[in-house]
Amino acid sequence: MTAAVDSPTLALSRRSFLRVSATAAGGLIVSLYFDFPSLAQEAGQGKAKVYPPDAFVHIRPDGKIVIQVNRLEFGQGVQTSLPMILADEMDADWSQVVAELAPAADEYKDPVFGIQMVGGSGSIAHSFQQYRELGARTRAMLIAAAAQQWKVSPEQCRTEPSVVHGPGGRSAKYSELADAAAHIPVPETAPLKNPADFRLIGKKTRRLDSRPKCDGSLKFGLDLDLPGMKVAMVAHPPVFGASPKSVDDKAARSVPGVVDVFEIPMVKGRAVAVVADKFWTAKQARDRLQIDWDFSAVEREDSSQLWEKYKTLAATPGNVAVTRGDEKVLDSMASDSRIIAEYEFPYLAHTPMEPLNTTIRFDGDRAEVWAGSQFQTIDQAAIAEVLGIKPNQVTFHTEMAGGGFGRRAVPDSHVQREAAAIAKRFAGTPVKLI
Amino acid sequence: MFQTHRATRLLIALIACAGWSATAARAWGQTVPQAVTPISANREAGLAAWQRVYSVLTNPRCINCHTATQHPEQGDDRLPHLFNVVRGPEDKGVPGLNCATCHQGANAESTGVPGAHNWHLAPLSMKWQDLNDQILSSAEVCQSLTHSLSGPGILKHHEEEPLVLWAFQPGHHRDGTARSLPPLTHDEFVAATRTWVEAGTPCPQNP
Amino acid sequence: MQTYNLTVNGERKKVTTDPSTPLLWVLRDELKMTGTKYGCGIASCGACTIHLAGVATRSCVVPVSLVGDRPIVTIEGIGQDPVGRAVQEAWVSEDVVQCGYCQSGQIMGAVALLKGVPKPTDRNIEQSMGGNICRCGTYVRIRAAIKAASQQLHEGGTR
Repeated sequence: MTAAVDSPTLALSRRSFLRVSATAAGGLIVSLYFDFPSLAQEAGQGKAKVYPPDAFVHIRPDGKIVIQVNRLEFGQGVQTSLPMILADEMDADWSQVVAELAPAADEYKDPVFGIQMVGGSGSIAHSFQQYRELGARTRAMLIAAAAQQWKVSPEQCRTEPSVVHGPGGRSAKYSELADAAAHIPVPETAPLKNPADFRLIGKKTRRLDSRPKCDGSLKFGLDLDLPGMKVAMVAHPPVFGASPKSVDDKAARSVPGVVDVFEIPMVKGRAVAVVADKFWTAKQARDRLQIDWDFSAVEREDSSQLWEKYKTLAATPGNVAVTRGDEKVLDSMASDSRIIAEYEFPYLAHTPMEPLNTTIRFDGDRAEVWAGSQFQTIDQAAIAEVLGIKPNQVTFHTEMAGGGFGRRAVPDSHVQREAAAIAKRFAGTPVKLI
Repeated sequence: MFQTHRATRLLIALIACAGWSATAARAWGQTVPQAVTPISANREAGLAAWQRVYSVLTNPRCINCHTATQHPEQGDDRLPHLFNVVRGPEDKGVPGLNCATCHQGANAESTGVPGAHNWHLAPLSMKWQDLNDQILSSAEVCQSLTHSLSGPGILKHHEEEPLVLWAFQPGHHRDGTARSLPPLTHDEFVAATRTWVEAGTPCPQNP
Repeated sequence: MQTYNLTVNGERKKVTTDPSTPLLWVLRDELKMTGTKYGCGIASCGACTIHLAGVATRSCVVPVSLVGDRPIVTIEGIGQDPVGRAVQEAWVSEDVVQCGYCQSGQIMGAVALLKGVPKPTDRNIEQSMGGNICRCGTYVRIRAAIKAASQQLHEGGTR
């Protein structure tokens, strides 16, 4: 493997991650370039956190095995790969496996980062061991349940996909054992498979979500439809930090189906929200707003200033992300043996195909949220803050998402904050912000 | 006196023949060599009318689809049409990405997509630009046009073709602003075409 | 507001709505058929592609007032068509999708291509599908799946 990282960086607590991520988007990127394989290895050993299998696996009476995925799926395939890992150790019949994206909750937090998130290519690195153990523990509990029923020892039992086999030709399906297994205490440890025995891991496997994505049946966040739902759109300022000086909403309000037009705070500056009965109404109304923007609070950066800043920063020593070899060797090299190059990257637009969206229903002392969120627990906390309730009063559903490419990795949760500011004014009504 | 009379009759006969052969040639879609066409007040008016016709043909509403390339142009700045659309074997795009994939039978005001019956590119035989999108000269466009269609054919095209009519009612952009119009109204354009056709579709000399 | 009688996937549907409403939003919001996706709203991405009288059409820029009586086929109904079925099967067997958001439009475009050009070359595929954007970059598998579907349809192959 790669060189181990020094111990101080291993104890990456939630607070330190947030501190890194709160500096700037750039700060977040730095944190995601730590040496993950060795981090995960080190984190896996000696941590001994036992994740409750019943929060991750549900064996239905019809034999379907529903596995909770503690990450957002937005094309990278995690809703297939993580279930593969668990299903392999569990010896589950792969044809019966159904993947669900887990809602925001403590048990679904990333084992290394301590928040529920996906990013930095860390899904498998951080959750490989975790999902193996979940599968192994589930299998152990199923065997224990069967052994108890047959009054034999667990060592006399073995598993085939979704079936426990005991001595004397006895067998029981996982679905038949599920209830009893739920009453078995979760074992501290459970034997993991020899990799040579993997049925799924390392074998070519097709995605679980392919077919519904090919016949229009899979619902993304944008497709959500709830009874009584309203649609909101926001007229954002053309520059970060601007606010409306004056708003003429006569034409906007005259579009039939418009419910309300009002200002909302943004992370910086203010914007104007339109709430309507459906998308086309909201879109027409939003486009008819006449807004005079106040640019006095806008940062006066320009591109050439920024380039100068970047060049200066690039020449300044920074945090060490990883050390390979001895950098003093560089100093002793003849200058004509060194190659120094400067690479300038233009603005790289994220442009996931699915327009960002969040749906919130605020009920006074509780809220329910549906969002294709990459940082569920951070977004949950931000929404709670705007609504004036506690994070654990916010039920947060993770929706399938149409790509991210960085656009959903936003530490300030600005989309969710806007959605919450709007939903707050329509208690009891689900509002979808597009 | 008698000689003059005979010379005049000969001249009249010559002119009549030239006129007849010119008409016959037009009907077959051929140009008559300039040297045979008699100079007349008709020709001056015809050439002037042609310049008015040319001004319409080469404005963006028309020339954007009379390209020499494998794609249309878009906008007053005549840039290559967005979204990788291509001409296709029948000038209507390709299966999956036809002109009709976006352009319907009428302007879509709410979405800003222009439309008219059978929206498609002019065939390459009616190209009025070169491969570098440079507009051809008045003489070249005149030659191109008169090689493709007869005078009456051109008049009918200018009078009745839905895509030509569209150019004079091109609708609005998404932001509600009107698309720019050709320099003549449709009536003026048809009148100029008629004058030019009746003059025998004269073409200017190449400079 | 105006009432329109539409034929969607072979079924008659009556909607009453603003005439300027794009067909995309009639499908999604009035008929609750969310298989056709909203990616840009300006015909630049192809995620909204449906078939209108057999022609691949970007529903986000076609107001419902211009549809007339032309039959509409969407991703939800394309499986009833043998070419549609072959394309969907090829998409699954080649594991084309990633996030999947563009794929309804890709499939509708591919079906239109195969109906017009049963054995498309790489160039045909490039020209016909080049306007359907996939941010995940599944283009290589899209091309493979189109060829697989073509083969399956015309040679009866198992691939």
